[in-house]
Amino acid sequence: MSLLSMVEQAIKSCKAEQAKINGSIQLYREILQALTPQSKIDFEESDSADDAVTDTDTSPGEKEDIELLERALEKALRIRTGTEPPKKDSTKLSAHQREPGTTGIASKEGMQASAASKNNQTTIRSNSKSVSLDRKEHKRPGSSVSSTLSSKSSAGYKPGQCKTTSNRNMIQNCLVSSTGTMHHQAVRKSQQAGFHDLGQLHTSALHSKNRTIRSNVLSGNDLGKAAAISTPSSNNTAPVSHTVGSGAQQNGIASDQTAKWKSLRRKQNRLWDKVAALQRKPVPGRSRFMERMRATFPKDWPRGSPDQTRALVDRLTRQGHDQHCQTKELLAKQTPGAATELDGKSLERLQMAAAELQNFAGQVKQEWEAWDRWRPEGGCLCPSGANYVLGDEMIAPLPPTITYTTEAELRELEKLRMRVAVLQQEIYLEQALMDSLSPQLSSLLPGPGCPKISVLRDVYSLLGEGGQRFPAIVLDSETD
Amino acid sequence: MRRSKAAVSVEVKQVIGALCRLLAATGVEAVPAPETFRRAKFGGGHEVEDQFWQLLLSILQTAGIVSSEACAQLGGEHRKLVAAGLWQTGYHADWMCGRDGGEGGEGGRFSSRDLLLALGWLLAAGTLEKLLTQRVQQLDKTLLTPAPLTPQLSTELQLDSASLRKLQWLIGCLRHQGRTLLSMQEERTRLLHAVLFATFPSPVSSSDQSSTVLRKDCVCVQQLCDLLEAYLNWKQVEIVLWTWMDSVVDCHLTDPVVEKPTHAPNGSTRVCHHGNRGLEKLEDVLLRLPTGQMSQKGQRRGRGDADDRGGGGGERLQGGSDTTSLPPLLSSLPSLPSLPQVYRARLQTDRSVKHSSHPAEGPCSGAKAPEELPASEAAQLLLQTEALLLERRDRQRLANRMQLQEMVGRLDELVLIPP
Repeated sequence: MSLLSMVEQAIKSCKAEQAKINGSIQLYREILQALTPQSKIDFEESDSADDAVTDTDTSPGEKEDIELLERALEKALRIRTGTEPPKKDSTKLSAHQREPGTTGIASKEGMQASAASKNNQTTIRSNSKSVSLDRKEHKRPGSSVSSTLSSKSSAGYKPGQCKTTSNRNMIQNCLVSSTGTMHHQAVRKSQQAGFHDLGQLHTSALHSKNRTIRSNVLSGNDLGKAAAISTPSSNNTAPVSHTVGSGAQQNGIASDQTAKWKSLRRKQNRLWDKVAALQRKPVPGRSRFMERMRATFPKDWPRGSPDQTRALVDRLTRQGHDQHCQTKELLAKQTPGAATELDGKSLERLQMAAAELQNFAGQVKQEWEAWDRWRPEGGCLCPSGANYVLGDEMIAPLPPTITYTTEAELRELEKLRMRVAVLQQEIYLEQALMDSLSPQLSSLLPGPGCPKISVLRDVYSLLGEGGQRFPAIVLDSETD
Repeated sequence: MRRSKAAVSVEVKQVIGALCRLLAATGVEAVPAPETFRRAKFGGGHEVEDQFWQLLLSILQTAGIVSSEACAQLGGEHRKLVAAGLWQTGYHADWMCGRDGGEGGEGGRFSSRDLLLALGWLLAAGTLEKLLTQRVQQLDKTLLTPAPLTPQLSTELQLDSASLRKLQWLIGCLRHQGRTLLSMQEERTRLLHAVLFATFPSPVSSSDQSSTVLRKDCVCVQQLCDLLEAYLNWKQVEIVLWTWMDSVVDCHLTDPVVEKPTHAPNGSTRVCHHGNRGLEKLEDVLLRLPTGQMSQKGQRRGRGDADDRGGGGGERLQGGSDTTSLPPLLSSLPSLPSLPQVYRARLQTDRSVKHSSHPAEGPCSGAKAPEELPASEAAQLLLQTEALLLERRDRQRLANRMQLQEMVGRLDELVLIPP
């Protein structure tokens, strides 16, 4: 591959990186949009629920109350589900998904009708029962997510804790969507009723909050629709989604989703902390096993792995090149005047370093050759795209966590990282350039006729100034 | 008090179950049941072996140890692919050196136990962590990954004005791309900080619209949490597995074994299909280094010499002592301080900043990356790296300039005036 195409490829990789960054920016923007409150609401599908529009300007205090409300509802559901653990697994693994779903909705509709204007305990109970029926129905779309995870493991072992934890979170998920379902069912019917019932479940005074709760309805629509779209088994949510068509999105369910997202991320942080703490503990059994296995290897088997040897070779090459440049610099400084003692000392130091490097390189070379001798078909000692590591260290086992306190710190960090990456690329390119141009340089000058001045200029600028500045070459016709 | 064998085996099975769950969570396919592991220890039949071939292959492919190039080269030959992948991690086993088209190992000594040992090696060599890192990168969109800007190897360039002009233009273009990247990175970091900040509980209850993006991210983060939990579970019981693996090794060693081959199948030095380029480069560089005399060995020799050196012996380089002395020498080499490739950022508000753990001893540069470090330290590291790199680059350019000036100076007619 010629140097030109190498640089072109470098440009392509930069552009790919830019596309990736763009993608991240897009994603973060969307997440932030979903998380932050907006003063203006956009309607996806407007409907006859115009009175809902006036509910959009809810005060922060009311929003807070709504959040509390939702959390209390969650809690109630959790208590409910705590009484029905054995059923969970069976419903999860069962194949019949539709019938309970439709019956759930049918019963719900019936209940809504009966609960038209009464606030009594029975309707509350039946409502919560319908909610729990919904839960099961909705759990299946949620559970298919976790089942795809566990289906990757082969049949034959009983899934243990994994499912239970995902179970719990699915319940939360379903709570969110089930309240959504309930809500948008009620939109078609009496809007007030269901929510009065819900309100009775909680201690907060809801009469003033009717309107805001009703606004929950409308956000639930969108959520229900989103649930229908994003969950894999769409058939299940089909009876639910037919009612989606009403209006605006509003707080409630969405804020619950936000809360869930936040709590998940915090949970992730906690888990990473634990992982980091565990990483620090050494595992003696592991190293002992490795030693025992190594004892069965042939005598000349090198330690480490081919990747490590390769990384070492790269490092030594760069080190050697750097030392070479240092020596040249030092020698050039020396020749004009008398050699000072300091210069002599530093030259000595350089020579010692060079000798060390040679010695070291000898060992590494032996290792490389040993690897090569035993190399099977398909093994490779040369840097491939994926494995090539420009840095000098071994790849860290798990991504470490960098903690920062101000935004400025993070920005500076990222800026530096990018600068270092770009600089490394530049150095690599310049070195490659030098490697490919040097053998031809000598042929450039004493050629017959006029040496190509422009070529000389270009080469000087590329090799000596990084292509940024150009020298002037003057033809000196007077020879003195 | 001695535990009954049954209790021990139940525990081992549970631990293997935890391992299987973890492997499945990281995206490895074809994870066999825990019972299969026990059968493998005592030499299960062909289906057990097959399952393990599949498992090993899946692990090697998912972790990226076996490159796609190798996969294409070897086609569907699982055995060879697995052997190549295991070699890549530094493992040796007798069955790996079997002749092509021959018996799978030495006269029937090969059994599923060998595959089990290979799996143990992979686990001990950190493949699980690699798998985990890759899966985490897929799931967590707020990780900070480096820009993989590494160009590939190259060969020659024509020295004519047209291609040089094009090269100059390309390099200018590249510089512009670099600047664009920097500014885009700024924007991204700003947004990332906002997202990380939003994970803290806020007094104002938020969004007015739900979104699919949030939902999808919730799913991903949920999977991530599950993965991390599986990993934690595994780590807590890992030691039981190693004890069991010890017993597997015991079984393996007590079997009468054929004498180990002390030399490779083919005695001559083979050359990778890339041509051992890395080693050639090293040798070229070493030639240019000053030796005992202060002679101007900086002059570059022609490429011709390099060619016959590339294949043959390195007599000129002193053979070192045994390779166990490598680690101390390594630390004496100055190395670039650098950050690991992928990391996650974490905003801390009122909590007191934790002190980063002191790095454990590591073979290479003397410092393994700690698991958690404050941004100021990381920034320091990067500043140091940048300074070193700049120095290196400027030194390289200076050397080039001097060489060119010297060359032009030998001509009588031309005078080079540097910018």
